[in-house]
Amino acid sequence: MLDISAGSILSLAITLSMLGYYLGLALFSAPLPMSVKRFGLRMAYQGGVSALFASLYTTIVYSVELLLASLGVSWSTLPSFYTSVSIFASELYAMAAGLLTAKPMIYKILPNELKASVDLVLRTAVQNLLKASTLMGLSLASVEVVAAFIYKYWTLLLLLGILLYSIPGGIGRKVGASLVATAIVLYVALPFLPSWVSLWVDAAAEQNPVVALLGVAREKPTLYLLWGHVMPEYHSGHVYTVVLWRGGVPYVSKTSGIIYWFPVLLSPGAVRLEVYSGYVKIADTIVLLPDACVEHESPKIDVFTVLYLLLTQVFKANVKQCRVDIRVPRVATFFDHIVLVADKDVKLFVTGWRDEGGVYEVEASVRGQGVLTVYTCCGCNATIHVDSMDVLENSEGKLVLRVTGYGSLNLTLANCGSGFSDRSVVKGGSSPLSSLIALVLHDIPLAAYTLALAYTTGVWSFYGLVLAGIYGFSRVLGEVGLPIIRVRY
Amino acid sequence: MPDIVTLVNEAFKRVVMLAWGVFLLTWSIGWALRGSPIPIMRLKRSGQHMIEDAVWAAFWLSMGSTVFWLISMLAGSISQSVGVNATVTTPATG
Repeated sequence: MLDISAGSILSLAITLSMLGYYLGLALFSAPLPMSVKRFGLRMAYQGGVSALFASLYTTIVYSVELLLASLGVSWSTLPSFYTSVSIFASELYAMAAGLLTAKPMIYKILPNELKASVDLVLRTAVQNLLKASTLMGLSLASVEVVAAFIYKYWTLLLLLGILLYSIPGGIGRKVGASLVATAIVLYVALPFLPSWVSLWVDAAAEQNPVVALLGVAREKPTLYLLWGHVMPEYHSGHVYTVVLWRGGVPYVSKTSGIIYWFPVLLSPGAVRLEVYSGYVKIADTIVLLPDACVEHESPKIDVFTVLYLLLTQVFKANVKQCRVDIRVPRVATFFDHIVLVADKDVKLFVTGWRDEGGVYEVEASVRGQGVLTVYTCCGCNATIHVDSMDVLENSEGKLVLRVTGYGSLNLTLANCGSGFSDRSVVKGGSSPLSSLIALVLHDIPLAAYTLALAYTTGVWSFYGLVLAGIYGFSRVLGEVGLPIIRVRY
Repeated sequence: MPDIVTLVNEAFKRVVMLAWGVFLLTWSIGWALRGSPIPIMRLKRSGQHMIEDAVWAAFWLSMGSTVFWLISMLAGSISQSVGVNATVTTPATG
């Protein structure tokens, strides 16, 4: 019965080494050509070296374990790595399925002319997600197989390598050296795989913030969807343009009534919000997320709600709906045609406002020291009665009054053309619908694909490095028994 | 495994005997060439070389046990310095 134990393999290896030593000396002493004598001498020397290797087997095993411990890694990190990768791979598959399921919901908010192109984008997104899931699954399977084999059989590989190395004549020297190198290098290197892969994943996440949304390498970040009310001191029937500045890029939202909303994912930090009534900037504020955030579901706004549901249900992102009301003191806005802006030391009181069939009337009084600016838009027949205030400027659509103590104002507009909402000076940004399509159907699936590619590249580049290490190490081991021996003749 | 070990041990003993036999053969041939009345210097020189090689081979053959003992001592001291307790014993030579 075959009894393969380390002791028996090692004693066989040492016996083979001694056999090689004496055989080599026999060849050296024989009356044969010089090349044979040189070969004999080399064989004898190699016998000694392989005997040393065999004797050092226990030391090698101990040193490798010590090296692993001193490097601060252990094989116990691999199971959690497998788990996270396989969970992510199956999440990608679930995202693809979720997108297909959510297709009717997305189609409901789409105008007909967009359906064909969105269908193409959706199909590409699903294909990318499925490809990504397959790639990750295959890479993970290869790692699991190799790691399981090495973990269980590395000492056996080492023993076989030493045994082959000891065969006289250098017959198994290269193969033996390769086996020894493979066993040692893989056993030491494989626990580093999760850290190596996470370098690639982190690099991908840094280049593409949407990748971080999927949060596999690290804690899923919490991102915010912002909405709220624009609240001047007095307002009626006005539409505002709210601009959100993020990373130097403006996102524009036209309010629905006084409600603004941005279907844009925001990370924690400061964002700048500007509020315009046409060409008049009425507010400019910095909002700190999440400090300023009041968690509150937005009222039913189709695109916003669809985005939130897709992000949380399909893509399992950590997203919160964040209400931030923008209070605009000392400003009054009416009927999309009238804006009153008071200085900080001026108190504004609006006593009445009326809209009678296109004739807009506003009565207001002011108290304090400073300036009151009256903006009207556009092309209106304006009748303005001012009491106890000096007129500093009176141009088309703009009246500037100096307030010293107390003053009152009566404003009547008739036959107005377009309103402030048609005169926005802020251009750019994208429509909420295109933001939704871009983010959900393109950016996120692409980010998932990028992440999967980062994982796969990490794994296969690791294999490349390990193979290079094995080749180098086996070359060194293979050559160590071949010094230059000068035979004198 | 024990069959292979026995086989290799047998082969080892035979190789040791063969090595000593080859030493004697080469030494004899060397002296024969060196001492022969053939007036070819090259032949006498090759005889001299054969004697030298044979003697060196005999020296290393007889030092065989010492060499392997030194190897196991070296392995032992390396193991001790690393902090390992186990050692592998070298089988005796024939």
